[in-house]
Amino acid sequence: MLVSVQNIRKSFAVGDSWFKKSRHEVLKGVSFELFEGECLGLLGESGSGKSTLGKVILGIENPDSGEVVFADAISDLPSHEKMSVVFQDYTSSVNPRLRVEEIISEPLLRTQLTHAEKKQKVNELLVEVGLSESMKTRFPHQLSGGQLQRVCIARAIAPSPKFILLDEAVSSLDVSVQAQVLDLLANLKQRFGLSYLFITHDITVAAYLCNRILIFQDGKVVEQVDDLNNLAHATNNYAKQLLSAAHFLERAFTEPAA
Amino acid sequence: MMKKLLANRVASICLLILSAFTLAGIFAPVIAPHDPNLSDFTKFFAPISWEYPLGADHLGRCILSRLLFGIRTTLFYAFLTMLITLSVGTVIGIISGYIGGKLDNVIMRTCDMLLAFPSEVMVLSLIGVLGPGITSIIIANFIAKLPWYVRMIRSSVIRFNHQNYVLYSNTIETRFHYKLFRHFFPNIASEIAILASMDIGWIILSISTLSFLGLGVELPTPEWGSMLSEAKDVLLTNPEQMMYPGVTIMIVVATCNLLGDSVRELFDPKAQA
Repeated sequence: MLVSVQNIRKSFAVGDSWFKKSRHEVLKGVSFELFEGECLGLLGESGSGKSTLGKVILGIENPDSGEVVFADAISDLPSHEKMSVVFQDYTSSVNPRLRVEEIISEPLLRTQLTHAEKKQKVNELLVEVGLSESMKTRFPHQLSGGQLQRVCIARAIAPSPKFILLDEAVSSLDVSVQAQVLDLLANLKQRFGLSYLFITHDITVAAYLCNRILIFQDGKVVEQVDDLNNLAHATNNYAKQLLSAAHFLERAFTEPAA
Repeated sequence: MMKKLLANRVASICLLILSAFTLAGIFAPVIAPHDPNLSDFTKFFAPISWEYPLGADHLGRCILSRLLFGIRTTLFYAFLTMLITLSVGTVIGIISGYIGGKLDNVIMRTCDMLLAFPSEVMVLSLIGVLGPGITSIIIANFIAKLPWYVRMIRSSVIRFNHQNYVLYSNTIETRFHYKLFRHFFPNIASEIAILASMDIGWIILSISTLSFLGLGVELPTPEWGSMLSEAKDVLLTNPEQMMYPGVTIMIVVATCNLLGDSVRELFDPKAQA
């Protein structure tokens, strides 16, 4: 066990009134465990509370109850060596006024590396994620979406964290770039022994990268699929819907029109 | 940022005029033909001449020299007021937006309270309490303008605080000063520049108005507003006396406002397609 999420509940106040307050519960008791070296998919539709759960795990939102427990081996590590995150929206994930080099070296600030070592590390990272060293002096608006997401991935792996949260990390890329970035992620996971928590709404993407999939609906984990070969036999209604939608799309392209 | 400003024709002309005024103010003792407070009984209302390029006033003082030394009071005190308001406003705005919660609520409600009064009423009543003088003018303008700055800067800090790159910094717990100097300041700097250049004209007018009403600098310190006020008494016999300080105030305030407009156009995020 690397990260254990225990019965997380989270609600937000609805309506910004001083006198009347109602709360909307987004996470209704979520529990699961993430093991070392695996990629756990968290599959759910928009608005189901996946991203809120992600923020709770990252520690930037406090849960109302429940807790996120890290394994003893990593619980004492400083946060930048413990975990990292790649967001869906790559344009707001990087400060538009910083150069690629500065963006990637932000998590290296707290390390003991000297200036030259940091520069060297940034160069290595850029190559690692399939970019060239010459890109380090560019500004974010001079890069394409796929390149920018690779910069975000380089930044995420820079301090060699144990676990990376991928919050819809490929969802805003077009399909061919998606495949490249997924391959890159799979490759990096192998080489650095990373663990991923992959939040997505796309069942094909989840099936491509993940070892296990949790199906998330209305703030709860409704089904856990340990063996992806059984994905087709998911019992939950929502899972069936997702599957049939995916099949529907697949049929439309693979079968000749009648 | 400077490069962009200089590429814009209106902005560069405005900057040129303002720097000319600033330099003239700094070197006033060198370039002024006379002591601004020296009155010569033989030169009452002297016409324009080589010795008195803009003539002399009702006490026989050189108008050009008084205008030049007036830059030091009007323009420089306006800059000083702006600097104080901006720095305090930025600090409070960042605290309010970044920390949030109860403290934010207290600061915002205080701002609301101050904003409920029209600025002019606020300034006049504060000077009524503090007594006339340039220090009170600065304090009064500072208090009247501060809530605007706090609100503006708070809202941009909150906006940037929800950007993913700040969320990322929060996740890996980057030090606060990195977030402050790398993420917040560069992004709010353009907004601060817009605010400052739009408001400087307002502050110049406010200082001149208050001096015109006799609430500002003490006589005989040269100040454009008080020059106007003195000229007003001889309006019927020597109307040209009002023209010099009036036109000077107009040029400077119009320049500041034009500069403010072009800065806003240049840095408005919506204008950056």
